[in-house]
Amino acid sequence: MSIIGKVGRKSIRVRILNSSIHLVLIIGALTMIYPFLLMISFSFKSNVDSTSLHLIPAFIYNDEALYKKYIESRYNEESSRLMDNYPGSWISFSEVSLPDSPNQKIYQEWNKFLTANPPSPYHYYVAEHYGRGIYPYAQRIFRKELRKENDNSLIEFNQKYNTGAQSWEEIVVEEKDIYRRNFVSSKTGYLGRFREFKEETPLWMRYFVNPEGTFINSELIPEYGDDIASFNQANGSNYSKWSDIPIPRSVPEIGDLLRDKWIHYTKRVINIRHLGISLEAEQYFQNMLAEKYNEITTLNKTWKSNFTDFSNISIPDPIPDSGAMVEDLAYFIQNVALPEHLYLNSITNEFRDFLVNKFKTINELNSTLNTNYASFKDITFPTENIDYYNFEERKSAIRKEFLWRNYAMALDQMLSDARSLQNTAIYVMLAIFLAITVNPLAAYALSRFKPRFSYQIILLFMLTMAFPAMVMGIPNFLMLKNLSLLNTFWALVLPAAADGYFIFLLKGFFDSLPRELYESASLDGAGEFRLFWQFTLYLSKPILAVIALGAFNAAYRNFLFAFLVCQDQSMWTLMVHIYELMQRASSGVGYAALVIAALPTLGVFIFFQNIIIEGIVIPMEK
Amino acid sequence: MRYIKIVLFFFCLLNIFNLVFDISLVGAEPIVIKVFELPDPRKTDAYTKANIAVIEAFKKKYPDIELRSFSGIKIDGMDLDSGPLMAIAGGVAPDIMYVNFRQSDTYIQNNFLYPLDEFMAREESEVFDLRVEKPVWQVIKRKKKGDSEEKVWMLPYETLVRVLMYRKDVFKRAGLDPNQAPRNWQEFKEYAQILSDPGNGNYGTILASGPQAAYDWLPFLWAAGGDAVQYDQEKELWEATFASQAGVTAMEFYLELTTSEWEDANGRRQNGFAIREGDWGYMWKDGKIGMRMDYLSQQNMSGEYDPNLYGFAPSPAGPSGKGGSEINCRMMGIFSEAGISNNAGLGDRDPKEVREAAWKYIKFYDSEEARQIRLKIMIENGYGRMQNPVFLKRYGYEEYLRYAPAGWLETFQTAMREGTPEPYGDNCQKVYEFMTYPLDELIKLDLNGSLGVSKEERRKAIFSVLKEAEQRTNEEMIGTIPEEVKIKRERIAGIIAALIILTFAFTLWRVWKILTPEASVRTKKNNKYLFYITILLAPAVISILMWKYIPMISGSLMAVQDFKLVGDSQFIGVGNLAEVLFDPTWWASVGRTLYYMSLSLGLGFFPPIILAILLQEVSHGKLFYRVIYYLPAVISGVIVIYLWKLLYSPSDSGVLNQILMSIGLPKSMWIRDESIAMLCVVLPGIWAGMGPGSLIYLAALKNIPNDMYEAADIDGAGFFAKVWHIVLPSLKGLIIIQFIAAFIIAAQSSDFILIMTFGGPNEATRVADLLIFEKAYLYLKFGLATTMAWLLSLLMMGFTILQIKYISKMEFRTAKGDDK
Repeated sequence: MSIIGKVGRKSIRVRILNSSIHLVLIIGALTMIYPFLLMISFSFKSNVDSTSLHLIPAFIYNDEALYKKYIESRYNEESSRLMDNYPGSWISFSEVSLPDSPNQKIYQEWNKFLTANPPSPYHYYVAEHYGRGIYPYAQRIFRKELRKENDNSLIEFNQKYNTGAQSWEEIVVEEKDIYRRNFVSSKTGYLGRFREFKEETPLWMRYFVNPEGTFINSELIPEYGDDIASFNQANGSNYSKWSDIPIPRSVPEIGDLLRDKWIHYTKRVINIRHLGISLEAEQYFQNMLAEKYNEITTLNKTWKSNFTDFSNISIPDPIPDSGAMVEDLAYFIQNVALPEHLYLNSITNEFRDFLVNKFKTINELNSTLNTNYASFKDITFPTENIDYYNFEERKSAIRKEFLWRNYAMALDQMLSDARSLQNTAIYVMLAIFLAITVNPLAAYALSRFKPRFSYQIILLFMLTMAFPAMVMGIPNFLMLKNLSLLNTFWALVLPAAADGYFIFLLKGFFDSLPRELYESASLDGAGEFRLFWQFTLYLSKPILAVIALGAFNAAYRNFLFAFLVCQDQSMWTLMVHIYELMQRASSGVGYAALVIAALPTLGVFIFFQNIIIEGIVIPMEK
Repeated sequence: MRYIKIVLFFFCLLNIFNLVFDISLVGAEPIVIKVFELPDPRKTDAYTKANIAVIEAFKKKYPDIELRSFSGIKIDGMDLDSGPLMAIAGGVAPDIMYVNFRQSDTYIQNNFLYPLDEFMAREESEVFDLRVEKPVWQVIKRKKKGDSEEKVWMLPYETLVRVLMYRKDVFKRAGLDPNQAPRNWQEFKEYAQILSDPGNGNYGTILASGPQAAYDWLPFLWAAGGDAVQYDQEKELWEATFASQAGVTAMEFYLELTTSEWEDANGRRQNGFAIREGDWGYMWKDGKIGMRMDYLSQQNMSGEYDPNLYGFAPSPAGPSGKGGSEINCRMMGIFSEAGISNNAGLGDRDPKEVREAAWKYIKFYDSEEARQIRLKIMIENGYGRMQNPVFLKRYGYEEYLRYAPAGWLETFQTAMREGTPEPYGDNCQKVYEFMTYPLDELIKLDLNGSLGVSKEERRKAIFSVLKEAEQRTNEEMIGTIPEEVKIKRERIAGIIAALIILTFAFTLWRVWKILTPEASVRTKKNNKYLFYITILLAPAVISILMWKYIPMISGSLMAVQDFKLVGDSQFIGVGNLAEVLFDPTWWASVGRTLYYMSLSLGLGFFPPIILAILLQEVSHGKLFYRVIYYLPAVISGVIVIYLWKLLYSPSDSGVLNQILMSIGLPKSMWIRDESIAMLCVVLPGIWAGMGPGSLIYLAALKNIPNDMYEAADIDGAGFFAKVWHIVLPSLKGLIIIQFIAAFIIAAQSSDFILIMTFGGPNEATRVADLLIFEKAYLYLKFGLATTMAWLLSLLMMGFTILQIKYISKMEFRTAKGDDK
């Protein structure tokens, strides 16, 4: 049964032929398999490692690769936040490396400090909370809470918070640039709900605003370039890293290089909640207000307050979130206050205070913490230690998280946001049911009873093959629309329920069943129903299986038609959903979705391969 | 019997209960309306917060109305304006639609908007005086074609003027006065030159590029005293009028800004003072660009732009003595089929109630109450200074007036007085596209130096290009074609139509003939089975009639109609066909379809045959290879496409690019490269189709009797001789029938291309099938689309006859058993 005959199997020519066949097939096989392996590999990746072609993602076995991914996720994929916390060292997540000499004691002191002085929401971000097209850990937790509160009903959520969220995916708060002047944390509404969540997060789920790093990034580096040497030259100093430069708490002396920058930064850039205002400023503030409002009653009306006189007004601490008073205060800081009235109230400064209180002398601190600071002022924001030990303590959980999170998002999308998996299951079942009833029944009627108008009916069916498919699509769609069937399962299954070609094929098959069988069975007293049920269907199992498989495939793969007739999110099928998801999800999540979508068809292939192979219909000349 | 009575009694009771319960539910159930947009919870900016507060107030005021936001699906790469149209077709359109000026005509002519007059009649007219600026009335209140009276179709909720915006810090750096914006063209050009330093990435201004580039030419056209389209009151017709003397002047100035040669500080030659390509959004924020045109809003003034940093000034005055500010509005209208055709997921709704609720929302959204709420929140969030001084005064925030940036209100008012509404005439959503054709051409000509030297020459050359474009715009966008041309076209279309009808009739007749059995059919007395027969055949027959025959007839009718989704469709005879036949875009796309077909057949048809022979002949591991080659068939088409899209990523990190570069070849743009995009689109199908395609040949190969090979062996034939003389002849019938099927399938490629490129890059993959899809579902020109589909099918009909002829000659067997 083969072209290469049995004779001469061992001749050189045949051997060469044989090995070249193998070679061609192997090369071909590689091009078949490689994309699949890539797809699986990519489904575990995120932005930072999405460019590597390694089939086994490095983070599974390599700590540094994992650390990169962790930092990327921790800083919510915002490289500018990474730059704030590591000024001058890294500008993208791919450059992140493990620290050379981490100091666990500093990290412990930091945690003690935070426990003793709970920071305000202006001092930290929620880590692992958002990213581009991914649901990181903290986001999933937050969403879970809100779903629970709203009985899993998005409508209820929107009613409660007056929003127009279209899917749970939108339930995330991307707090950006907290350090900037314009940022406002709100206590009411949905943002207030987020604030509640934020304030309850454990310490490892936060990363901190570092106004000193931002100062270096926005004021110094643009002027002196990336090279610290030029700054050292101008300043007459010898810092080895940008992050070593301590930023003074109060305005530097006249003549100091940093003075102008410091004034610009405090008066215009930094959020006023990171500033302290000295008592001397109060007088200036009162004067400004008196000039602005003239009458105290006007001020009370605007501020909704009840001061009796301008001189009673003091600057509140902490500064409230919003209101007319805050705006006046911001105006005051920017335009009226003297630089000497302001001081930088960064979290590092508070940490230094905490250490001074605790250790009193710098030597005491150095010996306890194994450090070698020259003075308390030299202690900088311990970002390296915080990040590293957060990582170290939760390493295996983090690894698991990265293996799981792309799939978690894809599944969450498919199961709950758009319910596309459920929709597809229903659609496929309906399609199979119709395919193995409508067509076989008609074919059976034609074959068994040979009605008088038999060939006319076959013609009626077969003539449709001559109808141009392209022309049919549009009126079919409009018909569904006029019958108000769009966005229902009927729209998906009805137009394809009967197929002339299938009926023709099936009739041929039924015709080939042995006629004698029917006759003898009839003689034995079998009714029509039994004949159909016990003989015909039993004998046609293979062909019915082929038809069922065909219907499964057609339904499962249907994209364009499903896309048009079921545009409503609640009716999306898997393929439509994947198309939509691919436009907004990160590539890792997209590939996780592809892997999930490939599983059902793969399963069908594995379990029904015999039917597939045997069921191939070959046309033969009669 | 008693039991039955008791059961019945309880049943009745239950029913009554239900009824009562239902009624009480109906009473309490709010009416749901879908709005095109509600505040996005992800946004934390002050304006979003203000809008959330407005929605909250609305709900407090109308607790019986429930607002939902519209969620449609969009196609990657489609233009913004067509999203809502697709939603209308798909039955998911919002009840309250977003309308802007250029789209408004499309919406009105297609009967998508419900006139607002009946609602407005109930209100006091001054409510609208405040809300609608004078120049806006002409847009919102107008005649629909064929109507006798003017109606109001939509109401603005935000009025905008496009004015000159500049960065004070950039001005200062370049030594310009940060409080003095250029007042006229001359100054604008001087400033742009001073600000330009391309060597350091600094540019004077931004002029858009791409298919809508003319958006930035239009202000100059207005300032020169011209207009893009004008309405002829007598003929009641719109006309493109940009090929005027003013148009030439505006173009001259535009070219000066983009192409004029000068020498920068480093002695390098530069062209123009504007950036057209690149990430200018980022550069603008970064202070690399000095001036641009941007919108100033009545409701929100500059939004969150810091007045210390940004200045606004009226658009620079041109030769006409005034500036060319664009007036635009964000508007809301009520969908005409609200509550009728868009109830997906909302249950039955009463259209009248839906419209009433929609009107309440439209009215409230920009009412004085809503404005006060917004103003309050904006002030609380520190944007008090940036609000409209008129509103500040009106709603009692006078103390902020003195902080208000100088000149903003004046700028707004000047622009509103001098400005021109964005083109809103026939089909004007395409106006920028049509005006960009001459723009791109003239820039190209000017850079080549082929526009001439003397002013006279240049003006003449510019005028002739503009004139040609104007004609094209009139013809293709507005649809005014000279009478004699029209008659000629319709005649040709008539001939083609006759050809289509004849070909199709011939096809049907041939198929009928082929399928009619030669011998007369043996009939049986089968009256006793008639019942069974009817029951068994009914589903199939009804389904075929309903989904094949009726659509066939209605599809044929549609091709001769100006089909409208809402309202009556007009009979226009061969009008559609005449339009399609003389549409160059259509023929270009047919050309691409042929190219696609030849690529996919040429490259994809033979590999399965070869693979089948190889799989049959390989000495070891048959099953292993077979499974591997079948693998791509296991995943569906959409997944295959995405898999390949991953491989095709045009960046350095793209998979194929990494492979190319690792063997020392230059990287490629793949699906973004016009010259190979089509090939890239074809390849995944070939890759995925090879294995499964080979199975049928493999099965057929097994049916070749062994003695044929043995006989050949005796004759001493080698491997290739046997393939040529035995295998191919035996497979001939199968190969032909497979080829016909492949040919017919190859003409339909839109779903792959839709996902892969959506016709891009630069239309390189916009095949006929995709064009039909766009015309039908994105532009709702169903009549035109059906006509195109008929024309394309004409190509296939011969093959259809062949296919059916072969099928009827063949016998179908399933391939049973493996060669174990």
